[in-house]
Amino acid sequence: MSFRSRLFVAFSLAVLVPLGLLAFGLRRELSRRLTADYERRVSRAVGSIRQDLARESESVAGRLAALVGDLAADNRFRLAAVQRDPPSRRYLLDYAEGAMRLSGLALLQLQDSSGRILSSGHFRNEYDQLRPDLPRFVATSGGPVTVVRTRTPEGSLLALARVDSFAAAGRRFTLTGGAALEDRLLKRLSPDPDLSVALLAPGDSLPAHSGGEVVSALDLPYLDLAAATTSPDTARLVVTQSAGTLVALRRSLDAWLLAALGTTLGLAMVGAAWMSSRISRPLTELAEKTSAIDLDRMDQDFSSQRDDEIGALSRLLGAMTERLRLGSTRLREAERRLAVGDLARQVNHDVKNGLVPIRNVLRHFAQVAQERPETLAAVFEERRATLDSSVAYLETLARNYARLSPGMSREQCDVNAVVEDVVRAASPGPATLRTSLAAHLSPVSADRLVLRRILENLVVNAVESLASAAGGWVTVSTEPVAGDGLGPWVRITVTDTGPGMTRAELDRAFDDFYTTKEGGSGLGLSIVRRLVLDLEGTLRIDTEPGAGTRVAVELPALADGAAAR
Amino acid sequence: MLALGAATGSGCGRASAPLPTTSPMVPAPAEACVLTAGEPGGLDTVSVGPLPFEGLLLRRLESPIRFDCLGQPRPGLATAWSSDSSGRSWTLVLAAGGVAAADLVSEWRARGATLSALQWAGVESMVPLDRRRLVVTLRRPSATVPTIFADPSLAVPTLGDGGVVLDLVSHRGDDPRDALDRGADLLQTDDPGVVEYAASRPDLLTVELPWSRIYLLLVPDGDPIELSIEADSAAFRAALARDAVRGAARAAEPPFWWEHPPACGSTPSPAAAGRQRVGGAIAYPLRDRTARELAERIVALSDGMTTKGLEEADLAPALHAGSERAYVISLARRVLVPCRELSGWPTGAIIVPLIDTRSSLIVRRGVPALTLEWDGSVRLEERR
Repeated sequence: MSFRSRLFVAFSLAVLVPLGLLAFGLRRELSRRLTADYERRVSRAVGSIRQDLARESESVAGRLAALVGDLAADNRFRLAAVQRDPPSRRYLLDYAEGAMRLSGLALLQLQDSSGRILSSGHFRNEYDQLRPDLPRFVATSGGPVTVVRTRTPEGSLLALARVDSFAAAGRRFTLTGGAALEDRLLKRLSPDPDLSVALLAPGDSLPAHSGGEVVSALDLPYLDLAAATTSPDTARLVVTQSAGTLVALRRSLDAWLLAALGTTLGLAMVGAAWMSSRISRPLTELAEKTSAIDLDRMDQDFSSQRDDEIGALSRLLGAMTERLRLGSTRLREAERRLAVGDLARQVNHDVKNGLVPIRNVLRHFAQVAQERPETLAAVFEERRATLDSSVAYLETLARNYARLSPGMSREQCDVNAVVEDVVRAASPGPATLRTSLAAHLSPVSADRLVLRRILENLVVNAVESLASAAGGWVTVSTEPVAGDGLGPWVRITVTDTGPGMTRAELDRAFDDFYTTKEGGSGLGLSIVRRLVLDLEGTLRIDTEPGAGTRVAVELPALADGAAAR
Repeated sequence: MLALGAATGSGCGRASAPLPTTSPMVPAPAEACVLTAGEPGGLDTVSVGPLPFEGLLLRRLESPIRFDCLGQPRPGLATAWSSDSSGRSWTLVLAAGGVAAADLVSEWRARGATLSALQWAGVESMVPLDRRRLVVTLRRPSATVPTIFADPSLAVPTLGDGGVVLDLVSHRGDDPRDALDRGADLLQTDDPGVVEYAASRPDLLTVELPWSRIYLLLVPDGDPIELSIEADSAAFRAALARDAVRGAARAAEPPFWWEHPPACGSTPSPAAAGRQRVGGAIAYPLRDRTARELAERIVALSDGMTTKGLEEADLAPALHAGSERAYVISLARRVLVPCRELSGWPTGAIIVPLIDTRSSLIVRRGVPALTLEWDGSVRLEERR
């Protein structure tokens, strides 16, 4: 997991967990308080409904009382119901319908003492039917509120019923009236929009789509006259709470909490990104600078103005690099001295080798001059070849050593042109030589001859590494390289597909006179490294057995048009 | 308990209503058919009250012939008629100056209801001989002038000047007494309250019309409806007429024209076995109060049934399909084309006649003479 991811997770946990706990607590507390509030409202509503039902029932009773008073004084009723006057029968049959309409009732039924219907308002043509159950049940139900379901032509009617009675000519008549328990009345009973009232007859259940929760119920005496068999029962007036408001509130709260969580999450991401950039970027830069350090590149700048741990680490690395640089210089000097010592010993050895024959010839000449002077000329001619050979050897030796320290004349030098000259003059043998040159490459400040010698050595080495192979590629490429604040660099890379070097061979590759090639001088890479260092450049070898060798030379570039140093 | 279905079969009997007979010309209305004689110097404009006034309207839309209350054929569009020796081809002689024979045939052919009536009546062809003469050929011979010639569906507007202008107004939904108070000169009603009100007005004359409608219970699948009443059929019908309905009514009296229908051929009604009942109610025409009252009484005497009012447009297909438990419908006591009426009934149905009804005609004094037609409708005699 990256540092940035860890920061993000930490930020998220640090913010989201407390916020989530807060949201959960808020939601729970809100729900608890709303539920308690609903319970109080329901309790008040149930009390109000009970009073309203009683009031409605009293209203029905009052209207019935008025109708009873009128009927007792109605002569046509008396003629029809008591005297059974045929012409008045039609009046009696139509009486309840008109009286019901005038009194605002939904149910009105006039019956004699046997329960025979004399007139019905809600079912005009149910006359003469025996229905004693209705007045009897309403009269004996015991409570002020009685619910009945009666037949109508179109079906049935659910009503809040009351009964009244009166006597005429010694006969008793009952008048049963009622208000319809329809949705309108039930809605009127519940002024609270979140509460609804429904009447459930025995066997009924709340409709599935009501979406409410039964919170209270009133048991009411109930008689179903529309059923096949009638028997007193109990209906339930249930008060249900609509979960709509609570659900809407919860949804709104959830939406806001989600928005807060989302915003927090976004801020955590931004904060994590910012923090990680503040913390990890300097570390990354330090890591890059550190990785660029090697014995040939000790010029990384670790200076920092920060006063925090990063600044301290940077300064520590700078000090360490400085110590490395000093150590490297001393090591290089030691190497140089060691190389010079080796060279001196080698020169001594070589010169001695060249002087020994001369000394022997000279001793021979001295002996001949002392013992047989007359033959000195002949002996000289005889040993002259030896002298010539030794002198030639020494001259060659001198030339060879002279090549170790050529004079340097710096100028503005086009690297690509030198590469092309070298490649053009090279004898690739079985290898294929190719170039990949960067356009608009900045010039370098170098001795053209020195640069040519560097490249010749590297190209020859690469070509010769392929001599034993059936073929292969040697690629010479150039490219600009970003510098470390001191200006751009030019990188020259010679890559071959040869056998590569082992680690041991690489460790000794820069030693003078070390060679793995038959007939090699062992001075090529040593000279190359020295020349590169003289040009204030760097040299790097990447190699692996079987994977070829890549030699990269980096030289400081001149700005276009800058004068050579 | 009375099974209504069982009560229907006993009411058989051939219709004894006076059938029209061939009569070339009977210019004056029979005295028995005169409702009001009219008064000299009467109204020039007659205002007709609310529905139903089709009877009056149809007399302005004349059929080829008409029948008076005694069943005597009288001139309509045709002033004379005769048949050939076979009794199948009848020649109508149209009034001079009236509608041309070819125009009349074109008009009939353009009207679906007219073509249907002609088809049910067995008319095979109609050929105009000249402007006034039209030959109608029947599939079966007829000894008397075919009643189809008086069918209202064959009526077309008359071209002559009647001398009386009918001011036709519709008062649907109003109290009929409002129409009288606004000056309607004619009002046909079955509302006893309106009749009572008119009787108290000296400027109005009330005439009871004949028993022209019959209400019946039609049970499509032949399954009798059990009623909780101990009575025989006649008592039941009488009780219905007395108590269940508010208008003028009596127990339905035979003959019933549908009990011995003519050979009508196959009717498109579905068979009883193939019907699918979708409702368990007793259906009735929604705007027919008498039908509703009868349906409610039957429901009151039964267990578990309900009533269901249907608009006219819904009632006919429901009746044809027999999709309800039963139907209370009304018919004319006399019909000119029985096969056409029977075509809308489901086959195998139980038909229980219930009550006959009639309406009253309230006439403002001074209105021209009114005569009664064979089917119970009223004709306004034009001033001469």
